[in-house]
Amino acid sequence: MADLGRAALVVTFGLAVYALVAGGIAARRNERRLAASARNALYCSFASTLIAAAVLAIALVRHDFSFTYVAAHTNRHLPVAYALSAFWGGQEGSLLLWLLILTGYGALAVAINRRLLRDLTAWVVPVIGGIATFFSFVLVAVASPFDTQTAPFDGAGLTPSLQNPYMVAHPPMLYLGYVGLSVPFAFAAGALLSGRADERWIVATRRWTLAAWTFLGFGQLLGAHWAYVEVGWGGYYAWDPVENAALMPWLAATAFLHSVMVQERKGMLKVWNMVLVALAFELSVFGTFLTRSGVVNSIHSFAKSSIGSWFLAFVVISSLFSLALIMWRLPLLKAKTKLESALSREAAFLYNNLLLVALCLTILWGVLFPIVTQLVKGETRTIGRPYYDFFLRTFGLPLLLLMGVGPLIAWRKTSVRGLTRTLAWPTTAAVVTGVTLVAVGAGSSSPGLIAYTFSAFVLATIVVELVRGTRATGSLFTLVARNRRRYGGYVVHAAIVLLAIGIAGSSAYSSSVERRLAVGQSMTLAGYTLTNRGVTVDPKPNVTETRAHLDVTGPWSGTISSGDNQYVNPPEPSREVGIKTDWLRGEDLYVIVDEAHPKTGLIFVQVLVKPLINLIWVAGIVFLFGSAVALWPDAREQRRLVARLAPAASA
Amino acid sequence: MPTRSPARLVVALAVAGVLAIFLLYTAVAGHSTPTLTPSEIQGKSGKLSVVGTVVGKLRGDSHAASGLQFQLVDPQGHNTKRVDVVYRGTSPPPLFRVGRSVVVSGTYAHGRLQGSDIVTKCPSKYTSSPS
Amino acid sequence: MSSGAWLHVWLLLRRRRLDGAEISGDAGFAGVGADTVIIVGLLLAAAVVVLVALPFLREPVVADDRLEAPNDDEDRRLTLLEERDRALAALKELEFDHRTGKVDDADYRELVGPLRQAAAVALRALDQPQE
Repeated sequence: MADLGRAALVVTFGLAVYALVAGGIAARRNERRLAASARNALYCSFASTLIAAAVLAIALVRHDFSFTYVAAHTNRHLPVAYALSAFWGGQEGSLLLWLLILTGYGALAVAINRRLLRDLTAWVVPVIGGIATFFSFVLVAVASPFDTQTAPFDGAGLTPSLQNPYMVAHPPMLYLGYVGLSVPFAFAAGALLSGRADERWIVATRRWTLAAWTFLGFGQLLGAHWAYVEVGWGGYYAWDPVENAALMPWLAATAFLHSVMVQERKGMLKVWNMVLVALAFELSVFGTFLTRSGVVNSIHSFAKSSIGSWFLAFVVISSLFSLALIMWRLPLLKAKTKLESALSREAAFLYNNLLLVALCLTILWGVLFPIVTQLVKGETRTIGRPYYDFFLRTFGLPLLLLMGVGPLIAWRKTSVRGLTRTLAWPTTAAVVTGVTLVAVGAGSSSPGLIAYTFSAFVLATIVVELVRGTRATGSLFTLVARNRRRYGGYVVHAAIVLLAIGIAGSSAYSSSVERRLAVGQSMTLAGYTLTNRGVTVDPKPNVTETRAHLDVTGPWSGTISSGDNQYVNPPEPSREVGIKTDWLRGEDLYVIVDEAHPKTGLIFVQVLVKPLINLIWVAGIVFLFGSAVALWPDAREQRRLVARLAPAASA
Repeated sequence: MPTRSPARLVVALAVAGVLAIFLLYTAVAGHSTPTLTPSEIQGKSGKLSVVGTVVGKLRGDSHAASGLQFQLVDPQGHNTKRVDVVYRGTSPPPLFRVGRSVVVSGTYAHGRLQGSDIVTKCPSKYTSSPS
Repeated sequence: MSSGAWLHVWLLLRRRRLDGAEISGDAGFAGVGADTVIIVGLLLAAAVVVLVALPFLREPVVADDRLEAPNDDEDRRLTLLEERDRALAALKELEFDHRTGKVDDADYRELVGPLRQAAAVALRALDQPQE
């Protein structure tokens, strides 16, 4: 059966090459039948990749250990859901998932747009074909999921800390995001290759980009939540290169989402948008390179793998290709209008882009630093947390403020007088909040106080916008329904504000203490008193659970337990933390018992109180809701588009 | 009549400002630590991180004054040079054990690393299947 | 190219089948015999070949094989329509912002003029016959 999988991937490779070569020739020589044939090849490549994926999935579910991949990532005990999730648990399988989503997205995007944007779509096919050629080549020749072996009795199994619903959803969600960014990239390249100067490629890929960006953002939150509850160090983001690998393309995509609005309305920033979409795409492939190659020390990657060089080559070649393409078509990309005022919506988007890209590149520098120092000085130096924290604050806080000011500035220009008027209410709200917060003691952290104050400002602007709009239209529902992109965007902004509050609260205002407690001994932190009540050991079929139990009194009273699990199959330990969420006070009591002696009951415990951290998870839900509103198909918009293109389509 | 719009100037200044902040910070604050293998560590001292594989018996307790003692060798196993580590603090992460690859951060002096932080790797998920 | 791929796949399957039979036994997969898999695989490969060749099979001889008949009139009309829609949307947005109080009267008076002009130009260009 591995043969079928292998053959299917070879077929995909052949079809991808055909889509690339024949599609390129067809687009260049304006040949209809060849272009249709290349399109069909792209559709078929999805089908053959699906077959390969099905083979792997079936092998995983059936615990077919003759597949080296299945034996390496599952075992007989593993429940079906986790056995299936092992599909993307290892290198080969995750590459197959990437290829599956790429061919699927590519086929769909081409199928939808083939009539409306004939010459553009004709070039999209070879671009997607080119990307698919790379991934299918790697899967066929470098890292195949279908290597076989003499089947061992049982497999190696899945690390217990990965047997978690969040870890099941996190990788596919990220991939839907990463790979999704290749669609706007392909359309942008297609626009340049077909010599188009208009914005149709942006309109065609608007929803793709928004969906990919949403998946990528939400996927990161899933990962952060898993790290918080499962890895158990009390945090949710460690600025690890692999975490940054997802953040960087997301930041670039955020910038892109905003700046295309300027191009759509004003015909400006054409070159910048081309650069930005290429940057987002290259960063998502580069992120894969970072995760897989072992080039940078990270909690995920360690051993160097040959696949890294292939990825690096692809990133270099596709970057050079994009650059050459943009430079070749530079004359086409002249701006239609100029920036007239430093106080205009266009300028606000420019500042937004500047800050987002600056943060993105700063993180990139931090990630590449060890590699650069190794090459230049011969010594690897790593950049630590303070660097990232500094720039997150320096670029993030002004960005937060801009989220509030930007929507209140008009296109072309706004007078200072006019702006002062609209900002009056939100500024008052922010000042009042700031003063109140200082009174309750939040002045202990300046960045935290600033973050809270700015957040109040932004929330006030959103409320003002909604109130004003409802008054003008009559009903909130009608208001949102008629302006889905705008108000969906406001909801997403609100989600980011919640995220900012959650991050500020849980980092700037958290407290933590470590103690050694004998049975009966107590400790206090932030109003909570915790008393050690002893250690229990609970042997179960596949796991021995060691837990220390602590009685808690204070804002919440009860018992909290923490300790570790020692698994039998695979023989791995995992730390189990105790978290008590107090929704009313909006904080988490987080207990890590990192050493427990069952006989004496002696424990070493670290207790943290993290205020407002749950806003981060709430923000994720609000984020999804806002994106859904913005993505929602608009019947009126559709009718207008069709009416515009109707006589053309019949030609 | 200015040939360049003042708006463009403001944006250009903003870009320059951001760049200046970045350069100033990296020049002044530094904040990078050397990350070395045991074979590279000879002659160095001060704050640094060591990447290596844990070998030898684990002795002591990280919570005790004498700390948890172990040794590190090159992750690739090329060199037999060993580094003595004394780690003090919260218990090492659950995946820490002899034979695992880790990164220990701390202060190196007189041939010994006083470790304050240990990072272990997930057992390699993303390496190619062993051939 | 298509027949080459078919041949390649067939040879691949033939050669691998011998290995596969030794390793996993001829019990097959999911209860399906190895032979059935090969037949299914070959059928799928044939289907792929047919689909890729389909445009040529459907129209072996064709008068006009051009993908995009250059239609400047159509393109121009589309561009004008887009400009009209863009101008009207900008006008509508300004009106809305004015109504909700985001843009005050003085700013509105200053901004609305050029937008109205742009919309009028776009509408007029659409009505005019092609040059």
